[in-house]
Amino acid sequence: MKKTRTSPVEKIDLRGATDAELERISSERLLALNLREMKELQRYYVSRGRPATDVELECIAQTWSEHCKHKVFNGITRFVENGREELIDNLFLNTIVRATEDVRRARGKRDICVSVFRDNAGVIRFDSRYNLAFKVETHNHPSALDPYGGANTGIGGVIRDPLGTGLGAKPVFCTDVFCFAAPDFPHEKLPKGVLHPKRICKGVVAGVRDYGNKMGIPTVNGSVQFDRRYLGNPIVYCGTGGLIPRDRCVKRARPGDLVVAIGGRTGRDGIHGATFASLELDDESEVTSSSAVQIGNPIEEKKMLDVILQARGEKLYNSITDCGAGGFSSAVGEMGQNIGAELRLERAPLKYGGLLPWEILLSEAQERMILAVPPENLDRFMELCRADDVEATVIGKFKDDKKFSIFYKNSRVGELDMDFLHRGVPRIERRAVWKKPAFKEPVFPAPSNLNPYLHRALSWWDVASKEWVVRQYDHEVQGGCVLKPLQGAENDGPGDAAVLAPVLGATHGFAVSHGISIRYGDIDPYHMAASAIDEALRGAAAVGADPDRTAILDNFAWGNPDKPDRLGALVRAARACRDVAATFLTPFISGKDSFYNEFTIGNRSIAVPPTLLISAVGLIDDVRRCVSMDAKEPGNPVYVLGRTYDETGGSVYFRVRGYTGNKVPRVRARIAKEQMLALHRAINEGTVRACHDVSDGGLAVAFAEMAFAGGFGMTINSGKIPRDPLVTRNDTLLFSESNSRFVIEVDRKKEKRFREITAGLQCRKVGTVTAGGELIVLGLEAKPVIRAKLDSLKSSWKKPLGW
Amino acid sequence: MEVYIKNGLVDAAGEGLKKDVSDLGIRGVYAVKPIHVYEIDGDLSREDVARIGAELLADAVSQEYHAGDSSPRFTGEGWVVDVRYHPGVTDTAGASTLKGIRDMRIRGAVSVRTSMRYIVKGGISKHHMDAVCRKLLANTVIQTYAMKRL
Amino acid sequence: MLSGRPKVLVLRTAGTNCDAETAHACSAAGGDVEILHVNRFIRGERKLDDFHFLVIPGGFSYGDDVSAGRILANEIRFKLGGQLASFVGGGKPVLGICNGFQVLVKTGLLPGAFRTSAAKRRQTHGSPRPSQQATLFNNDSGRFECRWVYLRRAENTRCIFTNGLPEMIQLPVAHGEGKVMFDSEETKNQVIENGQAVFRYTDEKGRAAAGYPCNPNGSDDDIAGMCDPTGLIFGLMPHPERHVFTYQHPRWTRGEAGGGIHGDGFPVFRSAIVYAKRNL
Repeated sequence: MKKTRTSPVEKIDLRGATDAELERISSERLLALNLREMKELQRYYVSRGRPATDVELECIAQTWSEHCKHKVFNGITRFVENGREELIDNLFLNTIVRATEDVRRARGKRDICVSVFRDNAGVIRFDSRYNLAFKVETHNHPSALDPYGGANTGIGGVIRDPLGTGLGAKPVFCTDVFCFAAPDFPHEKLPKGVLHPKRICKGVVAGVRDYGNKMGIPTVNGSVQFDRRYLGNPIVYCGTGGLIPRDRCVKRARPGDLVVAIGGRTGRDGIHGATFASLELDDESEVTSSSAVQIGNPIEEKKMLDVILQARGEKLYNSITDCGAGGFSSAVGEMGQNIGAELRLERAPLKYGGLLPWEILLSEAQERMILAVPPENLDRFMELCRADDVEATVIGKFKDDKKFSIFYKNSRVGELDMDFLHRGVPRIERRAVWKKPAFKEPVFPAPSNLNPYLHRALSWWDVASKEWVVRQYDHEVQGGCVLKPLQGAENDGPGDAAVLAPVLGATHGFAVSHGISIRYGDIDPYHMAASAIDEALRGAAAVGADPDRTAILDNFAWGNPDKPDRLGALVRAARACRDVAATFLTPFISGKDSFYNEFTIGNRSIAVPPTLLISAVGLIDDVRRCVSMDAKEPGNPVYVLGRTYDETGGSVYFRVRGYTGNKVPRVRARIAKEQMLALHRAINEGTVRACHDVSDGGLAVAFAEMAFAGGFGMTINSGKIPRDPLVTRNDTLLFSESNSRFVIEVDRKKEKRFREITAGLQCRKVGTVTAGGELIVLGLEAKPVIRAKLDSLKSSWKKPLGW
Repeated sequence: MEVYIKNGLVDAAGEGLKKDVSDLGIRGVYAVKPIHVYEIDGDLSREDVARIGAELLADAVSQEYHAGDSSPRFTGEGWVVDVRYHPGVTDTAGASTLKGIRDMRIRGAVSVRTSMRYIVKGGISKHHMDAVCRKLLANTVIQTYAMKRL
Repeated sequence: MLSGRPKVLVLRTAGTNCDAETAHACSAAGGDVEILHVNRFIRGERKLDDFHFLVIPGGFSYGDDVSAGRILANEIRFKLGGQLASFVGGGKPVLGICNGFQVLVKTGLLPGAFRTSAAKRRQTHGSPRPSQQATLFNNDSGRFECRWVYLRRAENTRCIFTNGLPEMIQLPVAHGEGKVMFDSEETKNQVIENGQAVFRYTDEKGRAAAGYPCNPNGSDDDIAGMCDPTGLIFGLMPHPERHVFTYQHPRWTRGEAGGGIHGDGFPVFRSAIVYAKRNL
């Protein structure tokens, strides 16, 4: 291998390189390409008869990165389960895409999808003027090193996704879900190079707060989950949804269009972000990867947003995308992949001098987007930019030669065939193994007094009030938030979903919810994934969204897929997505996967638990019919919809007692869908005053939250709760986390109608809302097993995260 | 130019930092006082400096400023920490301040760099102070810090 | 008497983010609204005098660098001072919400020039411009907070924006720097005696807030909003544009938002439009 140094571009001759040399080049340059990929590159350059340039190698490495090409999901997987091996050719197509195609076909004219998996965000129909774009991203690795800056980048980036979808959606809401280690982790046990979880939590919250609030986008839904295995590798999910006029949903750059970079300047920030996200972290990461962290400037992004929406209105451009991972390389490369593009790197405005051409191409400096502007519209476009003090620069043009040509000061520093760049990546074959683990099935006598366990469940990190976080986000800006994240008599109860009516003055809208069921993943990722989907859908259904017009997004955060057990868990989870979504007739519209979420301590690699976030948006015809989760009026009957099974495996109750168990909650999707449709009808007809979905902590927690959020007591007779015959204990009945259940306060004047609507379903009256300040639950033997003052329950729930 | 919160007012930022220090498991800090520092480069008259301080940087009601070497001396047990951006990191507050100065039709200013100074009072070892800097006051990815005893 | 819809300017700049809903509220109240960047006025493309009602909406103008609203206040003082003086001199209403309130206070327009000994002292320093007599300082809690608050309207106020409002209303706040403070007790007392302390934070029964969280930021005397001595310039931290419809109320599902279409914030805009129609 020969290296010749001709400043500022380096040539690297791969043609004669041995395998060992190819591998060394990949690792020295942080290309994160494996030998097969390097050999594919070698073949390309042999066929061209020339050495590669550093610009080209960086461009290819970035385009072929896991972050951009999803090689794990799209690869070939040899999956072994119970000794049986099968070959899965493209897991993604066979599960999530397949389910969505089936759903769309089955729905026919009632299909709500407009654009799925193609663009920067998934798009569904909203009303006669607008479609709704929604995207959720993960931003984990940088958040471990710099929680504030990493979270800034996470939310700043995902806001640009809807903005870079079609010809630009106006963001109308954000979501965020975080996974950390418990904040009481002992300082003295903290491994080297790891930040304390409380510090990470505070930093991430502040990062999302400062960026989201300054952008003026309400953050309306989210949660915080805790598990020890997130210690060195927290997970930060940020989502953004936006409205896009129906005639602005198609983008296509045309040959001759100018490549216009808009927004912030280019610096050395975030070089190798895409490849960095494809590597595991270790205690050296803090030092070596610091360039991967970027600094957010929300005001720059807000200015850019303001100009883009004006230019969208005037139809001044043909295509738009954001500069995320991979910077210009990725943005221009993707926009021009079917036509060709030429870039002039020296024209890019820089924050400071001294950047090498490949650094300009790959920089992940934030707050930048690329537009394809026809030359005749350029003057007007620039005028809009000047009026708002936004910098925009022509840095190239789109061509029709199917090549990506890169120039720097008049010399060609790279030329790649678009076809090779985008479709040349060799597919990888991996082994996946799934073996059902067996946890010890706990044996203990049923307690006669469940009060202490209810208090402990309410104080459990995952369940406890997140008000400290929620209040720091502006969830009211834009005036569209109709059902707030915090609900009830004192505005502090935990809502199942937020509802927005983003077209001011109009009363139609949508609900935003999510599901994440990490505790079940250790028992079986299949049921974890299924439960997450059910939780997201029942959250939206609980407030009154139409289950037949709900769409979901998947975000996988997983360990190292080169390890067969990690990949085996992924196969299980993806298959649940296929099965459950297909039965619910709910399409996936967008998603993202994040692998290599592992952290090395000493010589042990700790993977995050398999983490799947499902986000849901469900349409609502009239938001004034929605219901919140807080108890409303003494004397109203309380119903439980959905059957309780002996499914305490992975439950909060078991965790509180130190167990895992095996009886993981399952999803009976067909029945669940029927129940949700009935609930929708019951809410729509005004028979329901309050509805709360049953999740972490089971019925006991749901009753308690509903009661203290409403400031009214409840008396519940457990014997009436619809249950499987195998449920014979009060603790199982009240703490089991079976899916697809709701606690419903029915308007007593409309009870008859409610019963008609729910006839034939697992739905029974179990008690009454009372004027007293107590939650009283009579057990199966008709003796009280829970009797607690609302104030004390609420304080157990509020205390842990009341920072 | 250094901008201080007037004595006697609740310094919520300082109080929050004090709490964060104790969250790190470090005891003994009884006060943290954050001070905004603006380094203005250029040709400015004494009157320009006074106007920038009084009309732009320090809030007439809640803050006071000190220019040049007139900054007050802090004494007692504790540390003074300066946290500055690495060269090349965009300093948006500096850019906004420069805009503000130019809006006042003061033409002499060429650039503004902002930084933070923290007066950390209490009996705290060098080792612990360093940990507070790295984990709390400075983001070493984009900032450097320098600490010395009061 | 103005014929036609009063022309409303919603002034925006880098970091403004409540412009759309503010414009919607003004328009629903009967205004003919334009949202325009401050640059248009500085560059002379448009004139403030073309409008009858000026609103400076919420957001984070220029990132709230230095302090909330400071850079925009400074820009308005030095670059639009003349235009604004003529607008105000013409008896036209000005409303500042959240960041806009911070701007109006930091330009010295609120609580407005009147003679206290502290003001006189500063005058001797030679600044010809209205001097700042109050400020909006960091919340006592030390953090940004979004929550709904109860507000009581001062009985003696001459604020033209509160006609038609009930004595008690509910609006959301969302800010990190909203603590009202004065340069002296004397200023504060004058503001209160003059009926300029338009809104005070209270508890749910209308009693004095008695601290956090009813008073969400630690404001002196629970003051949430102020007008100038004429009642034409008005600023407040809570967001009336976010409670234009009853279903924006946090407890409408509990039947607490009352009947009808419009929420507590709507009359603020409606009063200004009606005032402009009758008087301009």
